[in-house]
Order: sequence, then structure tokens, then C-alpha cells
Amino acid sequence: MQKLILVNYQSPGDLVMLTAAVRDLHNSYPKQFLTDVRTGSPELWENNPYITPLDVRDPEVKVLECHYPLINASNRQPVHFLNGFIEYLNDQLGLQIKLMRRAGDIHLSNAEKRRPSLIEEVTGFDLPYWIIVAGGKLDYTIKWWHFRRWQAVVDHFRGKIIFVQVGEKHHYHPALNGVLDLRGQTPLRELIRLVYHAQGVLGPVTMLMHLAAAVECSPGGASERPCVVVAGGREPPSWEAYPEHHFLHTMGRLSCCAEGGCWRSRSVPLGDGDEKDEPRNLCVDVIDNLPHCMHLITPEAVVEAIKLYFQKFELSGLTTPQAEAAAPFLRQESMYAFRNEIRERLGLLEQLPWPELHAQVGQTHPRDHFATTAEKNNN
Amino acid sequence: MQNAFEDPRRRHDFVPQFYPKANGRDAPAVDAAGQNDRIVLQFLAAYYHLNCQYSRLVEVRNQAASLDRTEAERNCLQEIEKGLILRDSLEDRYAPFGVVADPTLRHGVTVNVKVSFGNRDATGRRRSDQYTLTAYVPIPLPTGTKLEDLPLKIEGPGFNGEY
Repeated sequence: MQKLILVNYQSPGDLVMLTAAVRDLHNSYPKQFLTDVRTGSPELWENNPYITPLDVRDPEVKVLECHYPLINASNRQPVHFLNGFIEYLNDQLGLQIKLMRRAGDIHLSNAEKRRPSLIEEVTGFDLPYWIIVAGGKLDYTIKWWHFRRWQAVVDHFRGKIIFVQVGEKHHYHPALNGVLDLRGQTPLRELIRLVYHAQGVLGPVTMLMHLAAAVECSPGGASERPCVVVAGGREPPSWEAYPEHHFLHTMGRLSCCAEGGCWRSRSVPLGDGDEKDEPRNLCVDVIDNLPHCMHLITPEAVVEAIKLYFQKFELSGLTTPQAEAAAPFLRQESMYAFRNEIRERLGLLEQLPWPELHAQVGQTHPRDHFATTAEKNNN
Repeated sequence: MQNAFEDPRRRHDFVPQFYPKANGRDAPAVDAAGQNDRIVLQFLAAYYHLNCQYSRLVEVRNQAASLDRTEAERNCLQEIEKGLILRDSLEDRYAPFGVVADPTLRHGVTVNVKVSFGNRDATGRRRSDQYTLTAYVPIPLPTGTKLEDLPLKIEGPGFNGEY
């Protein structure tokens, strides 16, 4: 048996792709390889049946640094990210590995599956939920959608869907209102478990969309996990999208992505000294600091995509008792509450005819509008 | 926008207790020139304005009920609305740069604005700067062994008298 150690220290999303390559190496060549990996995010490989601990000092071991140069053909050929490492292994090892499943390969232990969902652990109730990512890493900011647009989607489904906001602590993930806020609180295994129980996933092009496809669905839910991706025009859907996902792209709608993804890095320069600030890496069509392609994708389009999943899989929204059970755990930013209250009161004052206004005078009382939820609870 | 920006600390009617801190510290100087400092100052000014208007609203609502009070309340609410729109526009403008301005409130007043940036980490370092970690690890040689006998090439400070 040939012993292989595969090395890659790219982002976790890339590594999910590598899990598929390892799986299909073994499926294409059963009992011919022993494989181990040296990567970041080792949690992605936990419970993986294709991993055998190997020693780099073993003279029989071949250590192979893995890349995916296939990405350079992504605008010309209908190839998927999943094929990236597979093609590389084929080239390097003289193999003919075939992609067997259009998803990465993430494994949960039985103990992990048996545990209640993170949401049940937090709220005490087994509630359906969607995961939302409303930001991302700071290297490719061009992938970000505006946080108010994410907020508009959350607001639309208030009382119908619990959105659980996740995101790495040191990345850009602005707080959304009305969500169960788990930003910075989901180590990778917890995130995988969160995906396992999730009814759906919503976000830009991130690792989470790959996890949405790679992590099996918990029993009793849909056969495929709904996932809506706000993608714009950076990456061709043939490279990035999964068949069961709603991949909202603008390929062909703008001159800058007329013939494929632009593959640029940032919408505006951050001033952090990174080469991604250079003009060749910046979006060429920006509207209000948002890439035009991302601007074209409206919250309504995202709402519609989510609704389609509810129809397709006959999913049901939260019941009233479920919504009430979740409500105390949702982020209620006092500034939002304050703004809404101010606007409602102002609207009322504008609309009321004088006699009615006169009758209402004295019914308002000074309130601590800015009090945080915690302050109010303490009072 | 920067040209139109007026630091409230320059105004004769400035009320210091309504001016929030920035990341737990005093605000940057009025004439601070750094891009991030200018952004901080704009958010502080927006929240200062909201604090002042909220204080006035509370004052008005403490008055006896009357049509004058209702009119005054309406004016206060409209000013707060303007302040909120300004705050929202700042958030919108700087969001693509990875800027998040998170207010901390005490008894209804914004006392601190925690501002994070896309180009600097929490310690203020540019995110693309290289980090160098150095550790001193003494490795005793076996008795009688000379450094040049080892099948290793050792370079760096500490060898050949370099430091």
C-alpha cells in the first residue's frame, strides 16, 4: 500500500475540498493507499475513516504538498472546486481519481450526532433554525454583502425562522438584530454540529456553504440541506455552486463578469498594506462601496430563494410557541428598539389630528430608551 | 464628508459628559489626521449628537402635559431621527472597509463606542504585518560533542558571535 501524507495550510473551506479528494482517492483505488494529512483546522478530519496516522520520517511515506491549479481554468472549463485537488493528485501521482459525490466529506461521531443541537442546549427547546454568516474574512472583502441587507432578510422572517449568526471572532461579522448570536462561540467541531442540525444555511461564499453540502443532514429533516449563497460575480457558479444550493450570482449581467468570475479581492482598499489593495485586485464596478454585482442581489431575491426551499421541502416555519420560546435568546439591540420606537412615535404625532393628539397628551412617559436588554432585565 | 465634519468639541455649547469615549479611551485629538482616527471622530460626534437630543427628549417629557410639550417632543424626535440617519449613513459608508462601531450605553447615554477596523487588529497593528515570534531554547550538547560535529547547519544570531 502506498503511504501518502497530504499537506495543505490554506483556509478551512479549501480543506473541505481536500476531504473530498481523500475520500475519492480511496473510493477510486480501494485498499491501495494509506493517507494522512498535515493541514490547518485538524478538526475537519476528526472521525474521518480515510485517515491513518503516518510518520513523515517513514521512508515509505510520500509527502505531497497539495494545490489546485485547476482554478486557473475555472472561467474556461465547467470544472468544480471539488475537482481541484483531485486533478492535482491525478497529475502528481499518475492516477485517475473520479469525483464520486458532489460534496466534501465531513464525519460526525455517533456521540456528536446524539447530542442535542447547540440551539437546544442554549434555549432548552428543540427548535428548527438557519445559520447565517453576515460577513467574512478580511482578505476577500469583495465577497461581503451589506449587513443591512442581511438584516432585511432576518427581519422578513422574524417569528418564522430563527437565524443563528456565526462568525470567527477576529473576522468581520457585524452584529445582526433579532438573531441568536453565536459569533465567536463556535469552534469548528461545534460549527459542524450546528450545521448537522440546521434546517438551512445562508451566507456569502464561505466555508459554511461547503460545510452545508459536506455535512450530512440530521434525521427527520430535508434530504438535502437548503443553502442560499449570495455570490455576485466573483466566482463562476460552475466552480463554486452545489446542485442543491441556491447560488445567487450575476454572471453575464455585468461587463466585469460577462465571461466568467472576476476573481478580484476587495471592493475598496482597506489600507492594511496587503497586496489585495492593489488596483488589479480591486472591484472595477462599485456602487456605494458595494460591488455592483452584490448590489444587484436584493434582500427580496434572498427571501424568495429561502421561501422556495420551504415549498420544495415542505418545511414549516416556527409555530407561535416556538417563536415565543426562542424570543428571549435573540439579540435585541437597544439601538434598534430605540430607533423603531422613535419612528413609531414620530409617525403617530404626524398622523394624529389635533383633537386626538390633545387627548393623547400626557400618555407618554420618559423612558430609558437606550437601556440595553441586560439593563432592562436588571430593572 | 470629512470637510463637512465639525468636531463638537469645537462648539461653544459642548457638553463634555455627553461625549463618549472611544474604545474605552479618550477620543483622538480634534486635529488627528489618521484615517481611522477621523472615522472614530465621526462616530463619536454622531453619538454625542444623539446623547444631547435624548437628554432634551427626557427633559421635555418631564414637563407637564400640554400641546407645547407635544410640539417640543415632536421636534426632539425629529432631531433624533436625523441623528439616527446620520449614524446609519456612517455605518453604511464604512461597512465595506470592515469598520464596526458598537455603542456601550449606560442609563440611556452612549458612554463608549467600540470601533474595530478592517485594516488594524485589536492591538492596532496592521493586519498584513508580519509577526515574528522568538523563543530561547537551550539545548545541551552531549558530553564531548562539538557543535561542528553535529549533522546540522545552525545559523542565526548567537552563532559566530552575532547578536
